[in-house]
Amino acid sequence: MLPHRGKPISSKAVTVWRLTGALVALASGVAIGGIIWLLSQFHAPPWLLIVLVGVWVVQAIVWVVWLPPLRQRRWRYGIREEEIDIQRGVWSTRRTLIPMARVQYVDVRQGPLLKRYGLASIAVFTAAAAHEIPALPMEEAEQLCRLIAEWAKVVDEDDA
Amino acid sequence: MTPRRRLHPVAIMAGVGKELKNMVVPLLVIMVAGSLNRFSWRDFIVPLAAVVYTVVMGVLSWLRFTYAWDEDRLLVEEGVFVRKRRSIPFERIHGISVTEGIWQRMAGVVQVHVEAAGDALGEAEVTLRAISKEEARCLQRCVEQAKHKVGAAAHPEPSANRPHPALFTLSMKEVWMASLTSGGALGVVAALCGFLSQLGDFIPYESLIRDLQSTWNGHGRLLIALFILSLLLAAYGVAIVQNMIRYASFVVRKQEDTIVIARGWLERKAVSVPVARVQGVVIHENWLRRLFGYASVSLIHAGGRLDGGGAGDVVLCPLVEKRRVASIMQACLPEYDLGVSFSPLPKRAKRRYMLRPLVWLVIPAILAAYIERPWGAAVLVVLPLGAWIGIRRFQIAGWSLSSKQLALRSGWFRQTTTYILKRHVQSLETSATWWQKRKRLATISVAVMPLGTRVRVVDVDEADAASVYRWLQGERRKQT
Repeated sequence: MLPHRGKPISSKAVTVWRLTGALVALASGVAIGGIIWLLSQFHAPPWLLIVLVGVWVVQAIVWVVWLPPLRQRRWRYGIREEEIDIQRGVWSTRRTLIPMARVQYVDVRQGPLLKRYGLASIAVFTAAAAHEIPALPMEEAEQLCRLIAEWAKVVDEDDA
Repeated sequence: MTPRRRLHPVAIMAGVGKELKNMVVPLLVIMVAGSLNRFSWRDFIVPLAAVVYTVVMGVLSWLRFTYAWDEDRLLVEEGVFVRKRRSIPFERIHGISVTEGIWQRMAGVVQVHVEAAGDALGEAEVTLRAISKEEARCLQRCVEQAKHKVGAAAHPEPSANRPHPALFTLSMKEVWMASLTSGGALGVVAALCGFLSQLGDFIPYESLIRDLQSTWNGHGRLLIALFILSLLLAAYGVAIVQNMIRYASFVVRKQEDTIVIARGWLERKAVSVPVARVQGVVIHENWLRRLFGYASVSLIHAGGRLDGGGAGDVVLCPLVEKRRVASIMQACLPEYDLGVSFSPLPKRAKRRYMLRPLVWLVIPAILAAYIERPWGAAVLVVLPLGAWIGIRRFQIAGWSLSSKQLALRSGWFRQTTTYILKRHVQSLETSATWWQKRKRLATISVAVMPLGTRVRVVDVDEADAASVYRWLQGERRKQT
């Protein structure tokens, strides 16, 4: 594969993803807890309950402990005058190239968790798909958004 | 500016008829379910109310629907409770289809469907259900003129009066062939084969076991099998008839920069696609057609459901001899080069292709063989079959890169070759899982308009994937 010369995303992304993972684990914990309670009402064999708890623990560890740092380490983005170049993915490494001329519009997005850590995401839209660069420092996200909008416009005028 | 007008009143019939057709099945279900015990007049209330409501709404929405246009836009006002006004600039119109349905024919009018550039919410399409043919022609002319204005007067003399030669037609025999071998029909044939083989399996099974209960069981199975068989045959028949109605008198013409596809028997339809809106060319060859050297050709179109099929899919040739495809495309879309040669995948990808179908088959096959032993062991035949299909898929898969165009080929049961021009590539993705990386392989995936359309080839050589990536990267530098 080509080496990626892009920049990494904010290291605070790990914390944000850990928190999201924890929230998801909490929700699934409630769901699994409910199932376990129901099963115990029907005198299910104890090994089944242990398996369910095990599934929950493994899932929580994967999403809270294991995946976030790996994801953050793999993320790279490069924004140049003629293209946007993104690398991501833990199991499968994906490289995406979006020619600047195809960019239709750009969004800066910020959920409550990202806001708490002074981060924001950029979403880039082409006529065929949406691409998101998550967890950038807020000033940088806003500046990049302006930059992309500017470059996309310039390239458009060139094409016409 | 034309005066604000209502549609021809037959639009009410066409609209209400369509709504009612969609309602028939649910209403019948409600009636039958409600009247299981005793049938009374009360069971008619709900369906009757629904029908009356539909008719009243049909009339009201016809009353409230008006349209008009001037030199550069189409204006539509509609909505019974919420008024909606829309203005669609002509230069943003992606394509027009003109349909003569049964209702429209009776009144001597046509239905016009307009697709415009817009968001994916379906807000950018308008259907004028019944307008006169002159109006339709006038509207089409306005749209074309608006395009020419934008195109910096590249075509000074409008030669609309010259008759355009047909680039592609289907004979009645070819329509029949196309229907017989179409995808849907093929699925039915494959299922039939599966069923017949099952029947063959089960006849000795019955004669072996004389036990009364199992014989009864056997009869039950036979009946069910026969029932499903006849259902499948009926579905096949319906699919054939539908296809024949759809593709009868098929003609493709090119008028200046627009490809016009006219087709259909009971319902005549003319789809106009501006060449500039074509995002790619797809050639499908299912195994049966491949056997006889036939293929079908579709265009990827930027707009919505112009052709009544999937989003962005317009059928250019339902069935065509493979060797004619290049010349037809040369006439329709000269920018595409269909004569390119494809690079195969590296040898080391072969085993991955063989294993891929097996991963899904092994456990179910072994389970089935175990449960239905000893005869069930015959199921294990699917394993080498799966591997063989994998090898065929490996041999077919390939890619081809030229300075302006990328072509990807994959599939087996239905071999799909997609040709995309560089300027229509919206984004390009190369990905590699840990297993792929170990063998220095990667997957190429290209996104084109309309939203969500992706074309991919799995297990290309890593270096080749990188070269495709660089091909798109270098775009601007090469241009300037």
